[in-house]
Amino acid sequence: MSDIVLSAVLSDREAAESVVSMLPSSERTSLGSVRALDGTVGEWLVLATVAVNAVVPALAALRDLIEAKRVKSIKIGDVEINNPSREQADRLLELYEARLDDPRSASPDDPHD
Amino acid sequence: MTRTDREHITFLARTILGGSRPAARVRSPPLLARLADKASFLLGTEVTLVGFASQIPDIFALSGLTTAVVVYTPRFIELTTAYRFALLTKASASERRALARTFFSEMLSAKLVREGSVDAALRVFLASWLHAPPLMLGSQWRLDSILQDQHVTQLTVVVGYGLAHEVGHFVTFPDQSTPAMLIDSIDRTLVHVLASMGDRPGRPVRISPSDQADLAAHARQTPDHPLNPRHIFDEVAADLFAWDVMFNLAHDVAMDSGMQYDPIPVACEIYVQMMVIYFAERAEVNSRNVGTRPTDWDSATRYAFHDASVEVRSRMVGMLLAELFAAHYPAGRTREAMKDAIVASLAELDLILRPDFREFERGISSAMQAADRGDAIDQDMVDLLGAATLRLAKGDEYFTQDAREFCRLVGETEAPGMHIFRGLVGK
Repeated sequence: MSDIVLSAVLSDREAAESVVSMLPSSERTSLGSVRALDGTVGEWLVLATVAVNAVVPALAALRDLIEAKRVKSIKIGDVEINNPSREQADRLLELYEARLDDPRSASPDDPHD
Repeated sequence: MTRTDREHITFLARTILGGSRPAARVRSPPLLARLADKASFLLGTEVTLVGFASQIPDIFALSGLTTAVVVYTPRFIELTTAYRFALLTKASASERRALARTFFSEMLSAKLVREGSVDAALRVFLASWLHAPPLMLGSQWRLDSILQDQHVTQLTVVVGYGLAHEVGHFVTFPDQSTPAMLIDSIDRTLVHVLASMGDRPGRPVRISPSDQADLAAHARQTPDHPLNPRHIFDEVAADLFAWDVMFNLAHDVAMDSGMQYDPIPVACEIYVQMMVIYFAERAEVNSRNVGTRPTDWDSATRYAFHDASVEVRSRMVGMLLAELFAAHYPAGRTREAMKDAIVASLAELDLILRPDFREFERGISSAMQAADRGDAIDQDMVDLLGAATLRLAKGDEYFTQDAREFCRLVGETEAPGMHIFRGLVGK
């Protein structure tokens, strides 16, 4: 199954940590931060390269955070959404759940959406 | 740096810099590639400086990737360079205050674009350009023009200091005893600085002795507080790292140009640039706070916190520089003589520049208070667009480029005046 690059910008550390906790522990997952000019930490980042089946739990965690307005943007594969809405997160989740159910998604040649 | 890292940086820059269309990466000038090499050598980790073309003046450090990454927009370097030279130019007190107000407006406009308040951003953007004092306007402040300057030492410092400071946030301290000692020293310095609040005309907030103690205790226990000693320590460490990088880089650049390297003028250049970055920071932080509807006392105190933090930082940097100078004194002079000469030069420079800095601080304070009242976005759009039309008709290249970039950032978002403005700039 092909790996997918997942990035998310979140408003606080706790939110970022909750997304990381939903991903399989792997060296390819990291938590980062953006330090502004005055040294204060603004946004938090989740950066990961994950298998398709790890995207679904991450998206489920993100969906709740999106509803709480704690997600500034997400990028999963080639799909990038700024200020995502709950509906957009639901559509993405459905898309990846369908891919899990579709045996063709297991093919390494399967292109990203 | 991996391909995935590059994708993450681009994604993040789009989110942070805002706007409706992605910012394009820019090719970093060779001087910055050299700075990255030098910083990487001193840090012991790979350093990547990534530029994005954007009307937003910004610079930030990004952790979590395989290398130490600092993202910048050339506009940040251009703006701080323009203000640096304007600060050093002969000008009246009112011109300096006007300059500071323009500086603040630039930062406020960027903040409003990020938030999607396009109408307000357009008003502030136009006002910042059209009411700017003539001192600082001109195409000589484009990054490519700045890099044509023959004053290599000055050029190295003005372009590199802010970036080197951000790289300094990646410095780690394996020996915890050193930070603990310095954090104690910062704590003591902070108590002195808080006690002196209200003694200066530019710092009107006086804090009672009992409130000083409460404030210092609260700051100690609150990691996000601007006066938290650990937070100030991180900034001091980044400042010192930037001084070290600048001394090393200025030395190499001077040698390559066949010039004699003298650390005293380099130290003076760095000192001035450090103050300019403090002003940029003050304008940026305060523009971020506009619209939070603080009471007057809260507002004044919040702004005073930043002043106090900068005061502590500059005192600490001054104290710690002696150690750094030891590595840079030229042959023929003793370490102590070199240290004394640099400290004396910086003290003299401070004496000369302090009144100018104070007027600049006052300008930022008044702009900030006006913005809190809503004055900053209460500009007449018809007047602003009329003045912009005249300016474009005169062929002002820098304004035209910035206006186009502003339209590009805003994209198709509609706001009163925006469609007229797009038509004026041909976007």
